[in-house]
Amino acid sequence: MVLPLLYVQPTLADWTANFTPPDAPDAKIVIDLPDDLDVITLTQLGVELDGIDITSLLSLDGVDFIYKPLQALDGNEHTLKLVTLNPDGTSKVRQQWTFNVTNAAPVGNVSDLNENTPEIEMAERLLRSAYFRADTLTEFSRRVVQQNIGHETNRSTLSGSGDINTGFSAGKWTVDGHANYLVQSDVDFAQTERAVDLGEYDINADYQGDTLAGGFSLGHHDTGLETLLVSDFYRRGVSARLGTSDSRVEAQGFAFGTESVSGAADLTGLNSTDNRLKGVSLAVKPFSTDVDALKLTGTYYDGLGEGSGIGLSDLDSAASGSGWGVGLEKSFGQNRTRLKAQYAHALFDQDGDNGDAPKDSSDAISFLIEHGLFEEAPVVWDDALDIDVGFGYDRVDTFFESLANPGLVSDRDAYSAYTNLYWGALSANLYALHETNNVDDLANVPTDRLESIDFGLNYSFDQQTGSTEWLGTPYIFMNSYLASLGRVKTPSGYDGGDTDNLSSSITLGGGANYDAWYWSASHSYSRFDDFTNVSSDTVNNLTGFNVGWIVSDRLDVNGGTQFGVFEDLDTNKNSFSTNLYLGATAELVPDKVDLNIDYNLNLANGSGDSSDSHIVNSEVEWTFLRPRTNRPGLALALRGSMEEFNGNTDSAQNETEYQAYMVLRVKAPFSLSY
Amino acid sequence: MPIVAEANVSSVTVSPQRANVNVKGASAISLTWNVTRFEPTGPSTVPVSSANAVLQINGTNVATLGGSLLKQSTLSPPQSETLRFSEVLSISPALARKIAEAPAGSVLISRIFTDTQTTGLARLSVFSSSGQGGALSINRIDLRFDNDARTDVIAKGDTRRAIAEINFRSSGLLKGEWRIIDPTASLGSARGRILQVVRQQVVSSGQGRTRIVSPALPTAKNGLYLLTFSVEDADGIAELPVLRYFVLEGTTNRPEDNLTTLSPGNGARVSQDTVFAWENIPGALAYQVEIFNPGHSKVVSGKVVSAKDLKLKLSAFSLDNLTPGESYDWRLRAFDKEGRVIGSSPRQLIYMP
Repeated sequence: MVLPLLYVQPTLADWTANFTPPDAPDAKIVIDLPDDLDVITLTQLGVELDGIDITSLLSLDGVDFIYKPLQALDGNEHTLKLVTLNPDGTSKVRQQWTFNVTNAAPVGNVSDLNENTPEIEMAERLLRSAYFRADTLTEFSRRVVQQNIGHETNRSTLSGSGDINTGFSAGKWTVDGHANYLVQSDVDFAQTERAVDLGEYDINADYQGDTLAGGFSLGHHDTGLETLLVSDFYRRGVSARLGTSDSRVEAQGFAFGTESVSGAADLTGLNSTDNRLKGVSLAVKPFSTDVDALKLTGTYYDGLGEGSGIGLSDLDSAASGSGWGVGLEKSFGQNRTRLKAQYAHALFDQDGDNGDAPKDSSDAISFLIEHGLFEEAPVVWDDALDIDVGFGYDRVDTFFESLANPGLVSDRDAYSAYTNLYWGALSANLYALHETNNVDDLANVPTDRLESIDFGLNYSFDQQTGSTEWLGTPYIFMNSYLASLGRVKTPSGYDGGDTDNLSSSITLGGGANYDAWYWSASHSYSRFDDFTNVSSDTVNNLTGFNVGWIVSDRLDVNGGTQFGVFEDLDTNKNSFSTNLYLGATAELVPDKVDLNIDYNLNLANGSGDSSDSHIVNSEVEWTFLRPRTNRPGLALALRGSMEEFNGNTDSAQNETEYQAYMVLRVKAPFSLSY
Repeated sequence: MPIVAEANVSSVTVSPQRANVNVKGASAISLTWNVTRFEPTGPSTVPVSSANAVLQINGTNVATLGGSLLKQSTLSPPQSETLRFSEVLSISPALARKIAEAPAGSVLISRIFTDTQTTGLARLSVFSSSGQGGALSINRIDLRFDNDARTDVIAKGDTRRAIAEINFRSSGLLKGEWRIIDPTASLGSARGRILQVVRQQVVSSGQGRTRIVSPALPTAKNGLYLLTFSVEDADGIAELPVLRYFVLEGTTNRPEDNLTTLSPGNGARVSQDTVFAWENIPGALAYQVEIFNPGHSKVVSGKVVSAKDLKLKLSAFSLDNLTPGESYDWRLRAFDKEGRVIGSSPRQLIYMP
């Protein structure tokens, strides 16, 4: 049942459309147009649903517009607009309808509420904001046959997992939680040493007041900081934030474990004193809060962590580190010119306080300026042309390290420049780099210089029609680079080898999408020339092809292959690799019996010969009770794999492994809301 | 009365004759010492040994390295033989630092061998480097899913990728493989199958970093999958990281940041001629560009197109929903035929002039 709330009579109408609202959340939306409407007028109409232009997905039933929503409509109010597109590029709303769909799930984000929201609606949405949703799957497996599977597992196992989301809103607080868990009765193969254990989780509480905003997070999360000291740091820990609601001042304190952990043994991630860091950050916009506002950020951290986490291997003791940094961000001309500068100072002892290596005091600076060339993008052949340019400078001392930015590349003094071009469906980028190392000018270390240039482009064609319709909707891409590495300074008395090499690579690819299938292909050529002859000169070619076909509503097939040739030009030894994948997913009996099967081939020959392998995986699942929300479903499955290895010249490696399981599967989705 | 043998150590050599150690972290040097001796008098069996190696800087002993090496040598006159002693010397971070700061050419490692009668000495020169020169060496692999998780539960049919952040030294061809163990074998097989072969030329002035994205991970079967990125030249990595994900019939998961948009650029000025373009993902029925007020979740404008299209332009009436002079967030979402969201891009900024 549908409740039309408002009907706006057309003002310029010489004809009128009738809206037939949907009678169910997932039913079609129909706009009944006059039968005698001419085709030209029809092509000048557009339709918008809840702000989204749905015109290109409309189908025609006679001269009626029909739209099948991608997702079932929710219980909120919906707005449908019928729009006339004028030849001069302007448009006018011809008719507009608002409606609600009963029996649809009422949803609403409390964050979208504002002072204009009616109190009743606000109270209702807050009341209905509490939710609990869980998807769970538990399966009992009994191995019925096996051969040469190498390592024994229990013949009968219980395994499974679940994903849980919950949350509620109360006043100006919003609390959300997410967790997953894994079950594995054979603890030798469990994620941790427990048969049932937590995977990852996060709990976030946010406060949004009129003047203050804040909150705290517990579990796996990221501080959101992207600085020289803290970056890409997603770990288990705790953090708290407080600031003004207009984001003029934002402060944050955090403590994280430095290792990636799962399980419930270390629930906060902070149990190990040798793998823990803590820090604070403060961001201030001193003058304004507009899009171009100046933003100053300060960061401090200190802690201990494994050296292997930052790529320093074979260290017995935990590294210790601390650091502080400041950052500046400012843009001009409505974000057209963007400036970002950072300075950081780090203290880092790679073998900890008990090791002999000194604690290093080092610095890093980073500067980036980006600019959009056009204030208003010029239109070239009906498409807007936009070009960004950027220039960067980075200097990172040889011994600069941060436990909270584990992937940082240190010992580099680099100038970079880039440009991005967007023109219609063409996007291209060019990146040039000049970099030297041995920033600390160590006496026994030579200084080398890297100069490289990268170029890439992508282009998506329109859907082809007429004689080229068979091309579907094609696209192409290309990535390439050229890099030269050479010696700048060799210390007197140094005999540790020279540096002089050239690397080049190019990848060309493309593909096409069709109604029921797609394909893609690529070829990569890479060459490495070492003019000092320390390493071999090499050439690598790799070709790939993938295809997928939706044969029917009940059958999907897909496949792919890769063929690679690696040539060592110094030894004239070549190696070849071939990989093939073929897979199919079929619904043998609708809503009852499903089949999955795939075949994998891996051939490697030439130098460094290894075993060829053929692997088949398959599963047939019979669902005899389909799961519904809050009512578990049951399914029985037979699944297994066969792996055949052929050692070629080494028959000792010939082996066939297979295993098959009967599986009883319980699928239990839960959902509660208030 | 014991017979005193009169053997001679005629030469001691070491291979290689020069070695490079990394400026940072611990290093290992593999050495082979060749000790040649001859027997001028009567037949005898003597021990040939060396107590330890010595690291010298500017002629001063800085540290002892390695342990005792010992082999028995049995010769009859006028025989001679060469004994080979192989060892791996560990260089601590503290020593590596001293080596880096020493004058070039002043650092030596030496060993003295004796056969109880005579002695011989060999030495090699030690230099330091930031990683330049020599073969490619992988020293860090950080694996995660594209939603940052390391352990995940994924709804059947969802699109999820894995990301390998790789730090390396020197330059060369990175030879890697995405390997996966399917639920059909995750309780029995340790080998798995190759999901994709990766061959990527990487280059650095000493230390470098690259990011490798997996193909869409298989999510068609219920159960546990194990995924890793195995790579050659990973001598510095004790154990390859493994990602676990469990696929179930899900309704609550929503993929994030697994769609790659190609244009417009971040902060672009939007008009009717601006093209929104993206890379396709398998299984998509339609793509939808959604525009929001910054930081909000309510869509203020947008457009949906069939999955045959990998680009769109906003209509005039979609732009009419935007206020001139304001900035907006936009993202792309992909829907499958069941109406599920199977892809979503990170939010980016656009400006309505």
